[in-house]
Amino acid sequence: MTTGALVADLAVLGTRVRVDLTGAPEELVERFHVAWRHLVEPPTDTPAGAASHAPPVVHATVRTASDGSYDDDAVRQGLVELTQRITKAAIEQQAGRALLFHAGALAHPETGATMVYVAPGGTGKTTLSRTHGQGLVYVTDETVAVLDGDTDGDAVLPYPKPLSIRRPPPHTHKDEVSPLDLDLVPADDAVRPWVAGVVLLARTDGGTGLRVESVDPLDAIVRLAPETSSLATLERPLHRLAALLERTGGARLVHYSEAGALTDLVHEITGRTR
Amino acid sequence: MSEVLVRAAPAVDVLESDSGAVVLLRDATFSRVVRLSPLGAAVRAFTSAGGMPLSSVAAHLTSVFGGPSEGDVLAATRAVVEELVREGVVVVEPA
Repeated sequence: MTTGALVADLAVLGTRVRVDLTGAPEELVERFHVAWRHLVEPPTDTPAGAASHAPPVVHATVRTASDGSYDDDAVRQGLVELTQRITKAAIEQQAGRALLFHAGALAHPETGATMVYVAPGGTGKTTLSRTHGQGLVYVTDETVAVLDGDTDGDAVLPYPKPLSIRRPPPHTHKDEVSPLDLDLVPADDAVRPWVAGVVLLARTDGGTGLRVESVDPLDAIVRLAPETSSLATLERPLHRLAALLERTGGARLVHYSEAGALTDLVHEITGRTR
Repeated sequence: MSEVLVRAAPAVDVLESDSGAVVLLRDATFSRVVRLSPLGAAVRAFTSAGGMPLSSVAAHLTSVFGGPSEGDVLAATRAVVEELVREGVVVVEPA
């Protein structure tokens, strides 16, 4: 893959998304290839008549001033929005097949035992991924796709996207940073992640403590549902969700303020065996 | 609410346990999950095969849970059903 190529395929979430950067500023093209370099593959030719197998195409846009000029923040925001479009396109391809959680995940590098941490945006998934990623495999900080437990052993489809890192004030736009540049090991074909445990994160202000509580299975589903995508497109989705939680020891609600407090929990879950 | 028929609304999925039920409902634009108490779960289950008179629902709840600690059973049942209607779990129609 030539650095700076305008069209690239990404192998993400068990599927492919094509990124077309035609017309995008050169700075965005370069930063895209740096941030996504571990997932970029050459575009595959689609056989004639096989439109149904063509990957979805997403484009990058950068907000410009009336004179067509743009600044660095506009490029950064363009990359963030491109990531969102890539995520959306990947999710749409797995709707109806996988349980899709708005969650982060880290896996044991040898066994693939994966801790899935579900939480709304801005509540610590990326920070947790960075804090505890050393020694583990970075599966995702955004979307966890779980295949059927009966047929696929609760396999997780990796989505080790660039992490959106906040910049210090006065900057407001985030940077899309490759996991490779954060000393994280992105999931690849060498590890086969599977769900070993599911936690619901509840961020609290202040303190350094940690409180972990078991959740009634039905209450857990009520908490999880808003952080899923396309749940209603699955066959008996609530039963499938309940079965996953039962196989993995039930969901736990984790109240915490500092990501470092979760060390023992991360090790416990990623240390499990089937 | 004079005598009416109570009927469970179509659901994508329903999961029941001793602590009640969770119902996944979907309309044209989005889906949502509703948590039901054991009372609400019993009403939904009793009315899932077709419309049931409110009085029959009341009798069923009494057989399962016993009568209410105060007030009459029909009024108590009516209150439960009205809450389920607001949640979109059941619909009521004239008998």
